[in-house]
Amino acid sequence: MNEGQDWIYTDMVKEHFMHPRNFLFGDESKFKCDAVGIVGNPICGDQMKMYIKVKDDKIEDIRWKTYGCASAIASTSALSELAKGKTLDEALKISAKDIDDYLGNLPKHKFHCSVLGHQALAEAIEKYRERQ
Amino acid sequence: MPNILNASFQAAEGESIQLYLDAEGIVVSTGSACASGDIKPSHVLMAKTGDAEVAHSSIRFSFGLDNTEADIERVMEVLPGIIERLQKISTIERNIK
Repeated sequence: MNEGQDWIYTDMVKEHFMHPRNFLFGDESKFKCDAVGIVGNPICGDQMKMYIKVKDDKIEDIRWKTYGCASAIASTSALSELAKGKTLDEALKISAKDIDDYLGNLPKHKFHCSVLGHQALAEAIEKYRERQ
Repeated sequence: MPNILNASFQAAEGESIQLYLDAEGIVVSTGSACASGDIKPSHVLMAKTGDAEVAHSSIRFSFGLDNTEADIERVMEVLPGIIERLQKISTIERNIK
């Protein structure tokens, strides 16, 4: 909550919250993907889903959906930008810290619950590899 | 308190609604002032609904003497679009059309 306070987030978080990149809007069947990963739980307040399209062992395209607070939306958007074009091995190395660095640091109390998307991405990559 | 209204929206998280409204110049909260900064769902909403997802998907309007009908109309101009946008990027499927 930020009653009577300014934004608790950096400009980069605000930018990715107000103008998220690569999100999947509406019907998920519109995006033809190779694998999906999911993490979190609405009961805890945050859930992320990552959809990947793979070509030549690289993430050719990526989309996401998120139920969650501003930092959850911003961090999933940031992750999608970080992962796009990377090889699967490179994408697997993206950590919560990389997302936090990219966004210019999230408030501490928001970090653990909202920077989860990389786990959904890892699950999607794992599922993709199992099917190959 | 008769001047306070809680509203819950399926599949749209409270803080995100709050901050998109903030960007439109409309100030709401996601819980009581005495729980400000707490990211746990409101214990009052938990007691009333027993549903953490509903409690997380809630905002709280506090009306004062300075509020006008035009303020309410302004909220109703922007709020439906904010909710729809959040629902369309949400992982939670909506059960109602």
